[in-house]
Amino acid sequence: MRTTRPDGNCFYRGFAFGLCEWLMTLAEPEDVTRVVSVFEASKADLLAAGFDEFIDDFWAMTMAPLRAIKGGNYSHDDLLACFRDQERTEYIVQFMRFLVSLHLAKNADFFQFFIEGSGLSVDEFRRIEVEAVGRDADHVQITALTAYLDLAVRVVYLDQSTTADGAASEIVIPDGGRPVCTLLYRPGHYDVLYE
Amino acid sequence: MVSSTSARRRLMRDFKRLQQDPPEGISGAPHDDNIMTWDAVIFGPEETPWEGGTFRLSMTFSENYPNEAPKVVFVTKIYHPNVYSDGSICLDILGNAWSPIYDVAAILTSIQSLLSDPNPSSPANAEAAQLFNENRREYNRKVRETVEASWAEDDDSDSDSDDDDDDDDE
Repeated sequence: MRTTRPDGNCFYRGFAFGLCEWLMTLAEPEDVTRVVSVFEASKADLLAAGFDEFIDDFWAMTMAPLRAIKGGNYSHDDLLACFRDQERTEYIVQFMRFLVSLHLAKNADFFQFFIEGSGLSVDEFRRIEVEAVGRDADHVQITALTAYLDLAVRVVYLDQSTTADGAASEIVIPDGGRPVCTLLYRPGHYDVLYE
Repeated sequence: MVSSTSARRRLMRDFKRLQQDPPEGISGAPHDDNIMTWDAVIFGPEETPWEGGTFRLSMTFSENYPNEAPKVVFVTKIYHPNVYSDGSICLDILGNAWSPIYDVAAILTSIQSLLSDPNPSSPANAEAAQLFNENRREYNRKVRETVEASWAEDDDSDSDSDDDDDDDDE
């Protein structure tokens, strides 16, 4: 298990780290090409959806490790150094938030149904529950991020949903996908979990 | 070192944008010797009791900006449901709804609209919130006092903080 700093950014940080590790080790070359090109195109996608041009700093900070990984000149130490650098991870985490927000904006009709229960409109949800610094990710955010990237993540829950025989429950989001990484969820916190 | 440059670079960008495309009734600029500290002025929105007021604010940015909200306080004394007596402001985007997508122009615009559109359900000044809800006429009268006091304060602070070189011009 790799622990992540216990703040509201832990899902995004853990997922981004797990994604990078997957790209560096298990992913097929065509997966790497596809995922990196989704990120490359995401800046234009965000701007077209009306996001402020300030997103480009966040995009650039996120592209740096991804391009290096794609180029094959990125070591695991480089990755650790990147994610241990508070500033770089904060930019990367925030960029993940923008991608979630983008996907929710583009698919507002679909997500409205899941968001209604919070009493917020999709736009309010994006502002308060997604784009705001330090706000935890829940099922909606995870669904949106994995859908935008067309990837899957496994979440192992160690909480009230633990089954009667003591086994942790786990889900793959989206259902049936091939997870790029596993995150261990304990109430309020995610860590990266290895098999 | 990386962090200082990116916060500063972003603040330069905020400043350039504020100069090129200034929102109505708002001005702001960093101190000459320190881009991490800004002075700003918000003019009271027209056709509201705040009209004519000039409200000074101070903004302090950390090296973690824009991933952390700046500290923004009114320097001008102000009577408002969401402003504490020390000038600090109760506004969600300066607290737990902060996102780095907000720049200086956006922050000041939000504060400007907070002036005429307070949120009395999370009061920083309980008396002002109560008056706003229960006695709008008296509330508006207090606001007008704040507006008039802002002119006097303006004159005061002009005379003591006028550290331009023109002092030497005789």
